Amino acid sequence: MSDHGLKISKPGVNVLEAEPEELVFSSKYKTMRIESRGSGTVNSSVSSGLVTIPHRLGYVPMFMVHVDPNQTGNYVMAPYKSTSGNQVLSTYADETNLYIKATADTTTSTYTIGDIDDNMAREVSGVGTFTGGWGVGQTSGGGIYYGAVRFTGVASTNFISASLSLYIDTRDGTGDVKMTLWGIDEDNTAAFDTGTPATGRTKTTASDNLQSNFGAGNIWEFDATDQVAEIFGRGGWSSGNALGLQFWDNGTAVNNVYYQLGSGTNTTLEVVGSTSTVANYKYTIFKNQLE
Amino acid sequence: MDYGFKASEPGHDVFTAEDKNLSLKTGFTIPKVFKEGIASSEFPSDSITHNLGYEPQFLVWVYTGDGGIKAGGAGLATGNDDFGTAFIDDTSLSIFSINDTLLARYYIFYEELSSGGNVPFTSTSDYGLKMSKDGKDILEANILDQTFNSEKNTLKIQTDKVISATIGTDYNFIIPHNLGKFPAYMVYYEVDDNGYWFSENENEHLSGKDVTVASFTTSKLLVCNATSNASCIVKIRYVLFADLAT
Repeated sequence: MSDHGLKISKPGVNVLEAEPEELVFSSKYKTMRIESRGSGTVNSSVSSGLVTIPHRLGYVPMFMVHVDPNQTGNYVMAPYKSTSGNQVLSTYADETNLYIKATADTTTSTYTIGDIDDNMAREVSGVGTFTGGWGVGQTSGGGIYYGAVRFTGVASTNFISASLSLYIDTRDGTGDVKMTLWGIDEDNTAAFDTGTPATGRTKTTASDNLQSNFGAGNIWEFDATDQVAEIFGRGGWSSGNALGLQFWDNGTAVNNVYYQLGSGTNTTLEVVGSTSTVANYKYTIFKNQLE
Repeated sequence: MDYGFKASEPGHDVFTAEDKNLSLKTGFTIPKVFKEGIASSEFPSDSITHNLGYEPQFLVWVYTGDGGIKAGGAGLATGNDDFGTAFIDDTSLSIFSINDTLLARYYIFYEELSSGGNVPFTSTSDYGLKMSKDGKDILEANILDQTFNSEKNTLKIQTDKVISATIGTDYNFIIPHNLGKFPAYMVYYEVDDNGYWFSENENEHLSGKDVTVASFTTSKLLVCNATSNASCIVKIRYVLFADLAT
């Protein structure tokens, strides 16, 4: 260092020999200078989740923002990702303002089959209806399969989307399987081994034509948002009720059928919902310039 | 007013420098370090007591076994970052690491996260340099009413520069510093000159390019990795402190 300027060493350190990190201050180095500080609360459901804090410096300043995402008094430095891995709290600045942005988080709930007689069913044309497994397609003998699955305790708060995954335990043939997916249009569809057979229950208006060609041991996952949304939208639906989906063969060529019989393993319904992000924040704006 | 004390940054005339180019000036508040050190090697968790009675500002840097430093401030402290999390309350700083091979350097400042706080502090010596805030008697001012106190460390900015590049989907800014030690640092970035600057590890969401910048430092280099979903211009502002991250 040249022999001009001002430097102050830490207590106990010879200023003439001090390393840079042993100095309290040196006019050779810039310092972090506080322009302003403040605090508040940001809510993803209010004002599009954006808090705008004017700084009036006329340039983009350095900044630090700490957030308390669970409002427990524990502050972490922004940005913040929720346990779902979504970045729900962001901060940025321009030459006029500091911005603190809260984004709603998403939660994913996965529902499994449970009791296979309550929750899996099939109908085989010309033969009858059965529980304890599902099938879809057309057999070598021309028998048409229709299937249904049911999930209990389904939460519907702040619903965003849903997907159904069918585990193809075994199959006939090697070609495409074609089907049409509906929901079971009931408030709280009963177990499949009681009342009206699953494939005879009222269908939702929402439907999708789907096809795939998977080998046994694979999972066929597809979107079921429209069907689930229609069920959730029923006046008599309550979060936590049972929900059913049915899928009918839609022109599959002979000798192509997917089956899952005797076990509900790996067949799931995934429901994604949103939750508001509400966090306390504390910010520091420095005089130091970014741009 | 023509009284008081000010020191300009290198290269700036102290008589004409704007406030943003002054290192020290009567009336500026410079964060003063209350406590600094290395968090216990007994990770995956450590708690550093401060007992200030309010949430103070803090910075944490985590370093890996190979000497790479992960910025704690904007990197470590997200809830589910690669290395763990750090959070503060009114009594302690808690640092959690994903494994016990990591160490962390922390700085806890006197300054509260937001304005306020009232911490009585009596100087332990009658020498040195201290400055009080406007309207405060320097002989009676507590630490939070002092803009500067030579008994307390401050973070000193050694290098403060802007670089930019047109990147594809994955690009490393390699910045030699050759200090032979691991400096504390901060990184900010801007995309496509859109006027908005983010701290590192933010998923920048305004440009449509879905850019994220994450950095680490070694004893020779600062590396800033930028990822995006499309080609764009990324401008990096990096600040290296004379203070250490290890």
